[in-house]
Amino acid sequence: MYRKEKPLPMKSSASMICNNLTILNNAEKGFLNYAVIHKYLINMICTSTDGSQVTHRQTKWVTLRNGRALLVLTSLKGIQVFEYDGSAMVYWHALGDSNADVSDQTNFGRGIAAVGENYLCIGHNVAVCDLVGDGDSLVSSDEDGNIVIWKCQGSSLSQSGKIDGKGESCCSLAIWKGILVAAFGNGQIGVYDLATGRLGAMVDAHARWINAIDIAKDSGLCVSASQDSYVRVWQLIPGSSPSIEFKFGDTVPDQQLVGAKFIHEGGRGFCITGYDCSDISFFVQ
Amino acid sequence: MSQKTLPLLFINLGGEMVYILDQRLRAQNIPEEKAKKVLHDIVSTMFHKRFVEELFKPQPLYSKKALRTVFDRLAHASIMRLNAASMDKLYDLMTMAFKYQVSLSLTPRDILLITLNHMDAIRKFVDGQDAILQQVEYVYKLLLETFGSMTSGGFHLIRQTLLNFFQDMHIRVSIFLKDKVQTSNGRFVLSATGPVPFGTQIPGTIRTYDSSGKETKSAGFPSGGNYHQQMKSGSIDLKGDRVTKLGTNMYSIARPVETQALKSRTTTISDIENQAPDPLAKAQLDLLSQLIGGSTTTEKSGFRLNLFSSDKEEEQAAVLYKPVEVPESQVVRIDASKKGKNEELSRIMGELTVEESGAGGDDDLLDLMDSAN
Repeated sequence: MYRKEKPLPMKSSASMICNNLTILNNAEKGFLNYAVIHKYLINMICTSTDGSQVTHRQTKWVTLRNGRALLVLTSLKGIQVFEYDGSAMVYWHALGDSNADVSDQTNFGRGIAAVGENYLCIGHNVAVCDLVGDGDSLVSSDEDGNIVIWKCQGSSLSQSGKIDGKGESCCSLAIWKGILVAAFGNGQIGVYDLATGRLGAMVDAHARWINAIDIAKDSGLCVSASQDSYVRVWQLIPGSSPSIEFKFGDTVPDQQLVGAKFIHEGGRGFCITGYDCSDISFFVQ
Repeated sequence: MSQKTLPLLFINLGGEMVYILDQRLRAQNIPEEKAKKVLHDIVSTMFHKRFVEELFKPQPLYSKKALRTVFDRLAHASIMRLNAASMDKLYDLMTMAFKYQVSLSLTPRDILLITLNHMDAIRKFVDGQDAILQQVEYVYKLLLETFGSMTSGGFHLIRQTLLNFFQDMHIRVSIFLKDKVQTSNGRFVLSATGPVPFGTQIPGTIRTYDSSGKETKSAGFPSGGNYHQQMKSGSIDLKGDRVTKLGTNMYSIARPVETQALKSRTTTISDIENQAPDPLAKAQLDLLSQLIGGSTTTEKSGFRLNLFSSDKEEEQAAVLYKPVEVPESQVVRIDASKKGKNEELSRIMGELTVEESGAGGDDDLLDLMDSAN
């Protein structure tokens, strides 16, 4: 279904951080932007979709040295650091380049990861691992695998649902057409109905920790990448009890995968990053 | 990044150091009594009560360079001497061994079991030495207090912190290459066979549920791997079965410390942090390494240990291992050993420590240093 394509080299390797790859597909301008974290730096690569131009850029990452949770989001022209305060209000401010284009951010959902020790917000009493947003829904997950669904009304957030965890971290979330997909540290993927939080399907998907999942918006294809070196593609099936089917699986030998993103809304291609490796690997149909 | 990583990093690297030194001491036919003394001295310095207590305080990891200084001192805590090339090689072997163990751990919690494997081995090395055994027991106690009830998420953060510390280190180690667990580009082989972490499912099943929560369908998919379930979880009891073999001694007479650690050293971005370490962290680490160095004796019937199979090879390596020149303009070198001679420096160091950890306790540390000297 997919075949491996030529990898894209980065200036430095990817760190062991969940969801360590983010992509901005700027179809109008014909550019694809990639960002991968290397310790305190972010590798930024911009390619034209016809593959003719490649420019490298590295941007300093505002570090998490004080142990506080910061949400780091990379966008077209800079990096924005999001901070999450104790009242569960999500607010954010740009700390990126002076020309950071805030208008690129239409929701909270893109490429965010946050972990902090002793970090509290209402609804979670352990460190938050990932956030995902879609329309007026915001979903957060934590180290114990608890998932909280929030509704955004104006500038306030209210909790609309909660899925209790089983002690396994939930490090990656994705939403599509009322389906919530959550990936866990024990290699399982849960498929839930976003409105009710009800479990539709549970997949024993990987042999190790799952570090990243992503969904192609136009097709409902979902990609999962794990430390077991495997990347798998699934088809989500909407409904009152959403379900999931296996589509494709392959391995990137000896790489503990840390990031996965579709490069195409229809899911015709995706790319992945691995710990300690400075290539972005590509799979295309 | 986890603030609790330093003790694990230190104990595991220290454990690997003891394995390697033990093997080399035998290979070089050092008289048993001397060899024992070296290992006892090193373990006793490594687990110096005050030093260990400092280690277990929540704090960030230091730069690679600063940590290396500590191990430099530790290796010389006894009557044994290593030249620069041998020390470099020792450190490379230690770090790659621990990187391998962390990389291959099935679940982040395994890092505690790996640490306990090292502790168990260290305890055996100092068998019969009651004073040192007491120190070792104390470290067990601190480990279990700090990590015994840590959640999977907490260990995950520690694992990430460790792996990011070891990022971009791709030194090829012959014993790994021979065992085919490392490839020629320095990457560790990830097997798609073997056990899945205890308590988790073998990949390959999709279970579907209806709106009442009843399982309606169970479908399979090809997982590509050949996994099996682990029957038993590792025990963190004082004398429990750790189950994992990671962290145990992989050297033996038949499997010597390989003398040809191949390395391709290129300056990468990550060296930036080495070039500009956090000055406060560095000052405190200097103190720690000084504490270790405090018990160092320079006289006595010392001997030189060679990590290479012959002196000639060591000389050649000395050329190869020449450190990469890095601009050190941002690094302020504080030589604590001359503290008594330079009042200005002692004053600055005093200020730095006060800033670092707030009021109290620090005077004691300096006193201890003085008394040790």
